[in-house]
Amino acid sequence: MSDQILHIESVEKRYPDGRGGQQTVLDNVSLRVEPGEFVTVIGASGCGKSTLLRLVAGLEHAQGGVIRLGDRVVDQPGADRGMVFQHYTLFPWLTVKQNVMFSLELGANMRAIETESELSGLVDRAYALIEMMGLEDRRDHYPNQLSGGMQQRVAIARALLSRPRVLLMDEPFGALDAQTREVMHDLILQLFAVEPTTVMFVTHDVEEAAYLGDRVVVLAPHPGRIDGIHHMAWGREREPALKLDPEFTKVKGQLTERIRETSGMEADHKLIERMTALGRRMQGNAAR
Amino acid sequence: MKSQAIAQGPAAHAGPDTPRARDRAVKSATARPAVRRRPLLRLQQSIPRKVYVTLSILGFVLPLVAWELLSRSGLIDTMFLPTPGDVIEQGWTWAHSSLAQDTWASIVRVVSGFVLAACLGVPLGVFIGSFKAVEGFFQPINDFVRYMPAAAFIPLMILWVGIGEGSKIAIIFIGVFFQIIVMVADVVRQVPGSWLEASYTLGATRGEALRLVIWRGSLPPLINILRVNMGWAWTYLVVAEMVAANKGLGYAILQAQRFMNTSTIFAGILIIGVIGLLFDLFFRQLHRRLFPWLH
Repeated sequence: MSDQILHIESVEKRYPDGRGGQQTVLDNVSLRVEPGEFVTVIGASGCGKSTLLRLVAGLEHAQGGVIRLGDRVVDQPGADRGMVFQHYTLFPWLTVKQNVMFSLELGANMRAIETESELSGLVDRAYALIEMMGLEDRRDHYPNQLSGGMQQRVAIARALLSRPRVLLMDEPFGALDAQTREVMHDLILQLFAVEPTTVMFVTHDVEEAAYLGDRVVVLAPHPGRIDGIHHMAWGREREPALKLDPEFTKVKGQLTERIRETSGMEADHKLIERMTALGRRMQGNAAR
Repeated sequence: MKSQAIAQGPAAHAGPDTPRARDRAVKSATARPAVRRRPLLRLQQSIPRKVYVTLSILGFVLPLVAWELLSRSGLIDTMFLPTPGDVIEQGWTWAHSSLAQDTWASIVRVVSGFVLAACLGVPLGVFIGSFKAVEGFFQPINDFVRYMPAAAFIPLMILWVGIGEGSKIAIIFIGVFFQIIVMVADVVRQVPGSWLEASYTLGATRGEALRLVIWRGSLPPLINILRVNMGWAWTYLVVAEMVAANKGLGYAILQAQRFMNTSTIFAGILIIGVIGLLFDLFFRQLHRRLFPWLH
């Protein structure tokens, strides 16, 4: 199992700031994700949480440090790290079934398949994943005939088909309405109970992070760095009622507090105070 | 207010008669004559299909009637403006002599020039849109050549290719080739980067991403580009047939001008219009067939 540990070691990422200098987006970030673990990453916007995930996916390159999956150094995208994006990335010209089976059209995945039965096993797996996602009667629909929640379910099935060692999820429910998002939380908890998968999940929703994660990583911005890693005390079997549990609410409050403290939102609060004062003054002027 | 919204939500999916119920609710809430009037000129709003079709037919019939009246009024000499009847008659005579031959010659020229331009221009456009290095090399020179008028190449083409079919096809080729490149490169650039990234994380190589994502993703607009350029290819036909042709629709039009035969000019122009329309319909049908998810 040790060959499946995801190691992020002292990663550093800088972007040109457009004025000839460089802006540090991630500064000395280290994290170790155990096999089968569900790690959620939260932080205010600008903390580099999406960048971190894209580095693990191999879609971007770090200037310093190293990312390893097992004994292999990550330097480019690959099917061993599946990814679900915030924006809908299904291919509109393929049906649900064809989208889920897209990886079977790719040489890298097909070369790994040696026997006919292995291939038919993967096709069966595609059908099983579609069914698990409750889309068996939509198999031949095109993405534009599906709701946002359905599209993301297809994207998850597509990413899981070739059994990636890590599933990276970049605010996958960020574009969904609140009700659909709640349903998706319980759906993926059930999915990963049946189909144990290592997950790294980025979100800006504290409740989502605490409800789904075994551990919650809080990133602080400017430059992006790890502020703290919080273990969630409740077990894997989670139900919507947990969200109302006093203990859960307390942890949620603590996490929110950390994000607020690290992100310079203090400044925002001061701004609001100033605006309130200004508003009062203007009202006073109008009355006079 | 809130409870109303909640009550309406599930009701919308409840049964077949609910839309009518909702309709009634809307009507009773706003039963003023102002709502019943449906202005045809609201910005970007759809209008009843019947009205739309009627307008489309009128768009054809009214100019025809105006033409008929104008040519019969005696205000303009029929030598310059023949009546629609004259044109049909002339077309009929033409149909019994060389029309089929002329039409076929023109179709062969247009299609040859167009297919050649598409076969070279589409791949080049795809590569320009996909790779910045290819774009850097080809785009500036293409933007320069694109503005040179195709007709200006006629003397050069006669010197280079002679006065046979080659120079006529070359003019049509020059007319659309550079446009196809620019337009194709543009739609290829518009393929979302997130589709590419999704394919990479599924294990796609660069070649597979080009073939399975960029190519497949830009196919629908690409067919539309070909449709538009087929139209332009027809407009270059008459120019091309100025080059020592002895048959063809454009040639017939030029000949008719020499003999003040305005009816034939009219007939030739109308026939080119009809053929163009047929090609357009072909591309539209192709679009429907190939891309069912867009229709």
